Amino acid sequence: MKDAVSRNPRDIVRLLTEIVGKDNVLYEQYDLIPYSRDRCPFLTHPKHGVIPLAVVRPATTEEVQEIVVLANKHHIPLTPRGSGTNYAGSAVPSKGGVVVDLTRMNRILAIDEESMSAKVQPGLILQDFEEALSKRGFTFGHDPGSFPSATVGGCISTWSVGWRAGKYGDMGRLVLSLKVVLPTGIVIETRSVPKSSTGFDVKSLFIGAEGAMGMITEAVLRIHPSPEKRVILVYGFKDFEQAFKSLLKVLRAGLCPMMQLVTNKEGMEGLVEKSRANGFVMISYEGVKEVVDAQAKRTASILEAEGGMKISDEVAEQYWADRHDMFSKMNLVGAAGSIDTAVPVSKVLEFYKFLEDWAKRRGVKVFDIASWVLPENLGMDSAFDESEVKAYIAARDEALRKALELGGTTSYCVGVGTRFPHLMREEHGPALDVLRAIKRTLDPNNIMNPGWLSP
Amino acid sequence: MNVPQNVYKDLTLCSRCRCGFCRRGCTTYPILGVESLTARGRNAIALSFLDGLIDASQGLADRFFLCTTCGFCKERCPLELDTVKINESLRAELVKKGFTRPEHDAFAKSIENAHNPYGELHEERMKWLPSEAEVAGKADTAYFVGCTTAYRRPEIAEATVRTLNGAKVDFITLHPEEWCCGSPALRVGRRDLFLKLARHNVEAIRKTGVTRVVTSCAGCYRVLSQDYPEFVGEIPFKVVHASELMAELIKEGSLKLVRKVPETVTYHDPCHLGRHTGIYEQPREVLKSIPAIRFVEMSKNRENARCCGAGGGVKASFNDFALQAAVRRLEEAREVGAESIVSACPFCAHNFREVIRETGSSLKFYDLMEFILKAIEF
Repeated sequence: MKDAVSRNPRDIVRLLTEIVGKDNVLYEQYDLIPYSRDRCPFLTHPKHGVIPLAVVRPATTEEVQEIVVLANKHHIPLTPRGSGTNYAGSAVPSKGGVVVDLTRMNRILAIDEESMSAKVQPGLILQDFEEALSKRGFTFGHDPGSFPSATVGGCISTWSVGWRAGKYGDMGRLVLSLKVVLPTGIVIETRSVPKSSTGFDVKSLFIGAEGAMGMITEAVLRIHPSPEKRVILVYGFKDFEQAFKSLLKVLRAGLCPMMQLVTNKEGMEGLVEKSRANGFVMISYEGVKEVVDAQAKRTASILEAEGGMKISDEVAEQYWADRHDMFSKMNLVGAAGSIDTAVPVSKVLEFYKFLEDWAKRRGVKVFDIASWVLPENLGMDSAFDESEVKAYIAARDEALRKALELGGTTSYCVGVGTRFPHLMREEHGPALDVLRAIKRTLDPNNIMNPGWLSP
Repeated sequence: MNVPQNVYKDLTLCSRCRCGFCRRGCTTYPILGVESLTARGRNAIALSFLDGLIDASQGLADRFFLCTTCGFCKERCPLELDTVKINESLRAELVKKGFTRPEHDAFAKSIENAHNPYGELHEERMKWLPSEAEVAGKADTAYFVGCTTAYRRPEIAEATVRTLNGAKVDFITLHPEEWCCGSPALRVGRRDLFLKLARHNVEAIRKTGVTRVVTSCAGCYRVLSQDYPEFVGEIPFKVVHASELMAELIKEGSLKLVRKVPETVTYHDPCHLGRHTGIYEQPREVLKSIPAIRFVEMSKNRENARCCGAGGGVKASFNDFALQAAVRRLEEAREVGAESIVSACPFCAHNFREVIRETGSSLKFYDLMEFILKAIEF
């Protein structure tokens, strides 16, 4: 229940100021507007955002703890935020309350070269982390499209996937341990070993939880040796189907690419203009030079045997160089939305055909339909009419439901946020009640990013 | 809505995209940490203001004024939005509505009255000119000194004139017709004042009949070469920065750098010369042609260079912040083992010298023109 404090923004600001100082509490409308949205595609204008009561910027676990205790006492909703690059609306303060901007907590606390791990704060930007590691001969290996701005905490909280996940795994696999402030203010820290057999894996409660289970204040992450060499191969095929089947041949040969992508013709628009190909496979390896060379040689011979036409290395390098900017650039053509679905490999081609027909039938402008990083991931980037958002969402939901019907998932990496809560019963079935029971247990007053887990 | 249509369109594009790639590398954001001080944040505020969701206020205006307009965000924007132009358009709009900075009011008044932003006497604009300097009565080249160089960093003006004399380049000066180039006015949203200055200076230069104007100031260079043509139309003379001219003179053999300068030196790209006008290599070519010099690059250089923190009216209004930004940049110079940091902008010089003095840093700062004097045998 709301109390007098939670109803009075001035009281909230005063109490937050006592914790972090006046420079780290924002309450003016002009300062709050930039925190009212994240990158959820439909929030194309500031008028679509939700203005919080205040923004607080803690610098330590202790400050986070004090903020959480305060919020729990007065039932004030808290929305943790990194760089606000999430596509699902998870960083939108949809119930108002206070946004907890964690970007002051952006330090690398320790790099343990022997253990190949690093302890970092949640507001650390991936590119800053990667550059720091690179100076010491290491790489993190997590490379989502938002790499230049996304934070470690945001990536953990959305269980993100990046371009290099074939070799290094998704964000969840890169987490060794977490320090978390629970919604009641208790601080827990899990053990920094890859695995233990002492009950449930507690840290997994916070991976992909979009801040609803607690506030991550530290993470120990796996790091890897900087690769000696990287090779990118691109081959054109008659169509998507042939391209996808050729990728499967590569995987069945036992090869394990650092990155793999199968895309339709639109996905290479502007790069490959005069090719007869209508489907493309891009495969990359990195690591020890001799191993990379051998993998690339074997891959090329498989793709060529399947009828693939080699596309120039320049095209491959250009595509790779543009990998972080490409989604942003789609917004030049129209408001860009995405479908980030995954289905069992055996259903990918059926789902691909559905998406092609669906886009034609619904009149959706398609930037690409692509299987990315894992063969199961089959998604689509498209433009929508900003004045017809409801119609686009209805159309999109048809595609998401098809993925569910085929045994897949509605969202393989961006989270649920405010985009997909209405589909979560269909996604999880009775398991949704399990998730909600956990949420209720950890957050009895429902203060932490209240949303789809606590309707 | 009174901003140009293309500016409004850019705001809507940013509002669609919201990638935030502008945050990392921003001069202001990493120091002050507030989202409303990033290009993405400011653009959201701008759109809210222009579309009537929020009223203007001094606090809102200060989010636009607390930006050095260094252009890093423009460089990093995947949509290639002209974030500097967006900010300057909003500043102009806010000024029209009466939301200004008192420090900007003061320098604008001084420019109106004395043709310089520093409240100095116009008659003393050439006080720095050494008596032995040879200034022609008529020549193809004019040296546009600029206010900061003339009144605050006269050593740069003196070095430029001595070097031009040494290289046998005939030049005139425009005094008393050289007025403030208008950069400070334009950068902080005083477009009417800027236009008055631009029209005066273009006419004054045209009357001399020179075909080339050389300036040692990065801010003057940006305004003369880019903003004058944009705001007042085609200009009847070529504009070159002193670093470009020096590189050319060295190549053709008119300027000989013969004395050894065995120092470890790095070069700081001024925003107005680098990101704004694309001059990255000439200053480096000049430095590298000095015998025995050990030239080192900072990790963030050329289009990725950090701003010194002084530009866009920030030093006048938010000096503590400007100094903090300069401290970060000097730290980068120290990291690569530089003994001296060289740049090509009197405003960067002003900021760096102040922070070196305040912090007692062992680093030395030189303008490029000063530094090459070390290598010239007169």
